[in-house]
Amino acid sequence: MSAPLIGDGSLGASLVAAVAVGLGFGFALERAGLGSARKLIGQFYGRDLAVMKVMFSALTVAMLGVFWLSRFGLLDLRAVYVPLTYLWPQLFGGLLFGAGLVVAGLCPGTACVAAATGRIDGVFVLLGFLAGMVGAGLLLDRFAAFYESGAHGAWTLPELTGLPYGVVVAAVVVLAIAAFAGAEWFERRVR
Amino acid sequence: MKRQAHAMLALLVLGTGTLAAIAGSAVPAPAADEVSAVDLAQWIRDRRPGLLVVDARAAEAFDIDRLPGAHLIVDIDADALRSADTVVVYADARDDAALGGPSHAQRVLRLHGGIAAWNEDVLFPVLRADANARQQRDFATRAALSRYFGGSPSLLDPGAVPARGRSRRGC
Repeated sequence: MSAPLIGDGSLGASLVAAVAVGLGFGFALERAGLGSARKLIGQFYGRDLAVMKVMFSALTVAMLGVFWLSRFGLLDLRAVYVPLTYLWPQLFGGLLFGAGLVVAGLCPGTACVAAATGRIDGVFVLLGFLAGMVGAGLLLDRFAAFYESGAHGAWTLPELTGLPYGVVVAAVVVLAIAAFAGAEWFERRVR
Repeated sequence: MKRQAHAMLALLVLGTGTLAAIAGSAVPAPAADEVSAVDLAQWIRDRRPGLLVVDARAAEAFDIDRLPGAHLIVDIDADALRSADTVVVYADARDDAALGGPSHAQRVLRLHGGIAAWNEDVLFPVLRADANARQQRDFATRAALSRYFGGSPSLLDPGAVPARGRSRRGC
């Protein structure tokens, strides 16, 4: 038996799994203090780099887990969805997302956590997201060519670099540890 | 104490990452009693002496699709097994091939991934159109092997996506 344990056809089971994972994700964000806009904004002033540490930790754990589970035959990597790459709209979207994060102090996940824990700013950020989604949907046809530009399909770092998957995993691990050490050093300097 | 815990975690992650680099691929390597589809294809193409390929599936599946030169397991007699140096047994999937091959041969191997791996890795290999020069060189070897067995290697145009899927990201 190997993961994923839920097939494409099982919508009910997928939704149950999504709710369970979402609750766990929200709980982890809240316990890490990421429901607070002040905490998130501390990242951009160099006072508190907890966001980077939490996200990089999650990324590293997930990456190592996926690699080794697949290596031991417990996970079928071909059944794992890889988001499609659209280079230009995603670069633009990343910049817009970053700007929104600085202005609002929250991103989608942390805004849900903030709203769920009774923070008014979280509720307003969620309302802003809803308005943005509706607006983007209404205007999408005008930007369809840009929306589909720079398509590279399911593009992974091993495919981009031509390096073995395990070498890319090791490189990201080294990068993460260097980033953690750099963040600690930077935080001490700012304080 | 906190510093020590951080150092221990960093060492653990670094060790696991280093092992990943050594392992190289995320795909499970063939076990000691297995052979990969590409290696088996090269053996068959090179007409390796003493090689016997055995299909452990039902006769109906064998009639529809089988490896070149394979024999159905029920059709093999003891003399053929004794004269074979290496027997490769395959089924639909790797687990099915574990049903135990003929025991008279000197060396019995299972086909890693079964006939599905043969179709995917040997007959119909796929390369991204934006692959780099080294990937293209490596693929040329596999493409030649594929054509030898009547397969069709193909190039995947990563830009030709039929419909944009749902976005599943956030933080």
